[in-house]
Amino acid sequence: MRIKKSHKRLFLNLILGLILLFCLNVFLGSVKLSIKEFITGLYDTTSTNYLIIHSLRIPKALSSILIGIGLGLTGFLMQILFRNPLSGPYVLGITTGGSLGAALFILGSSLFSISFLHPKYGIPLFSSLGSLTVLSMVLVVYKRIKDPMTLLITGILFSSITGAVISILAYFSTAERLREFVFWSYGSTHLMNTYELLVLTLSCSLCFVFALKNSKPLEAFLAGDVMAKTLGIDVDKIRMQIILFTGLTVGVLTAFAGPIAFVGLVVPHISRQILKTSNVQLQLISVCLIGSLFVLASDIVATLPSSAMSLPLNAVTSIIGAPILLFIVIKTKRFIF
Amino acid sequence: MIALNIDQLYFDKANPIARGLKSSFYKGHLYYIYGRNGIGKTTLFKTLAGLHQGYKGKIHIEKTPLVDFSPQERAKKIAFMFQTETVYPFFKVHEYLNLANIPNAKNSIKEDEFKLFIIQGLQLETYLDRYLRELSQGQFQKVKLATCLLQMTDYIVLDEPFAHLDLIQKERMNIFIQELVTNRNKCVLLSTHHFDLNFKSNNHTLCLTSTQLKILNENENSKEKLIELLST
Repeated sequence: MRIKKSHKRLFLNLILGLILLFCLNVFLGSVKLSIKEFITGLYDTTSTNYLIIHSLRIPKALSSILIGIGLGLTGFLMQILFRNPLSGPYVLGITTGGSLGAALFILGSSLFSISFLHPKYGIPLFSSLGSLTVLSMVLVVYKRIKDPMTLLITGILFSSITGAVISILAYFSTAERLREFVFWSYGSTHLMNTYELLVLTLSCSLCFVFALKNSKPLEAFLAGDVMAKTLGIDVDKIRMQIILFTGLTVGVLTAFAGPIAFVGLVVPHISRQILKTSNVQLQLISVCLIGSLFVLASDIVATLPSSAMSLPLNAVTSIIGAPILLFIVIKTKRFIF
Repeated sequence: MIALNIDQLYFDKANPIARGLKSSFYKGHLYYIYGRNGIGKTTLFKTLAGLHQGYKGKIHIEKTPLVDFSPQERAKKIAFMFQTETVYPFFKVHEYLNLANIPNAKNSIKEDEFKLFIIQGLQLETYLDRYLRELSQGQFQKVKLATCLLQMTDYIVLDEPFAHLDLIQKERMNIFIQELVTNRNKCVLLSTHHFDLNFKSNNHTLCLTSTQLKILNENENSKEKLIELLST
């Protein structure tokens, strides 16, 4: 693949920005560190700051990067699949499936006696099961109907149904449980353990490799369904694979980080406006980098550095993402597609 | 050779749009297909390109049933230029043309020579680096035709390739397609509503109605006869 000079420069800047934000994300936190304390904390194992940096802040920054990559990638693939600028990772209803799973665990634990599981394991487990259930249903529906627009509507229906069940569960839940569920639904990059980081890395990598391997068919998708079919692409097979890989990644993301809003929707738009190309390989790299930058930046804001308080990540991503999207719409006077 | 033997062409089995479509199309020949609006020209072309499965009958490409081709193998045999879909606006012309490489994964020197021949023949050199959204409909029409031809298939189906073109471009494109058929031994089927096209000896006029796909013989090959057939 030949990369234009301007694109090389752009990627270099994005990588530099990513390194800078990563350092900033690790540096800033509820415990205020001086630059000297920060640097000694990086290597001095006897220092208490070592524990803060290595056990809390670096995993948090890494999970921010992975969440950004996952949401950017899945949003990008969904927008290609549906040829719809309002599509995002959550459009298939898989996230609300994950939310339902989490709600069943948190809100329904008093009803279904599943309190023997620790929330740290129970929430991701139930959330994954919820996501997988909806993903299976989506795949079954797609196999029968094979029309993206119908799938989009089906996704909205699944979301409505799961949303309704969550409301019922919330209605009968205790205030304490409800509070716990609301906190989960705010989304978070905090406290992912090594195992969770590995699973997230694996699912994002699988999704990335799939998209990279199919970059040419995906470019043909950008030219429209008829064009893709004319060029000999098995459109139904590729669509099914997009749903599967996106669904699995979104399921894992929701299980470990909760539903994080706006990132998957806005990142592909930013990438398109910056790159202005149909080259899918370049766009893939770009959505990963921009997604990581976006979540790292949002996480820094949400942490409220040097304060014991923090903001819900979901609220921050929306507050940052919505004006960016609005700016793009005003600038281009239309959405792309 | 494409052997077409369609008993029924339909979207809904209960209401076929055309019946009894029989014909053979050979390499080195150009077929102009005329038909009234909504008679099923595009559907017939989509069927030939393997994109529409709503038919009863048989289609063979070089003695192999069309249904036996995998999508990729089919795309190496037959290319289809379709009427406009909404296209992603950040496609540059050269990026769009490169899509034609997808069925034949590798490029060879021969292909590069052919690419140059198509680009020069259709006079695309001046806007290769422009975005599709910056082109006029006529210019985009030529880009679509070029992409279809660059697929390097023996059989080519063009759905209204002269739409949006000015008189001069229409004439040039018609001559270019005729030369391609004669010199490169291609089989081209194209649908059009223009009667004023110059014909050559290896060109044929076909009339599509709901009951037949009739090849007009030399005596019948006139605008008046065509209008008469289309009116039935």
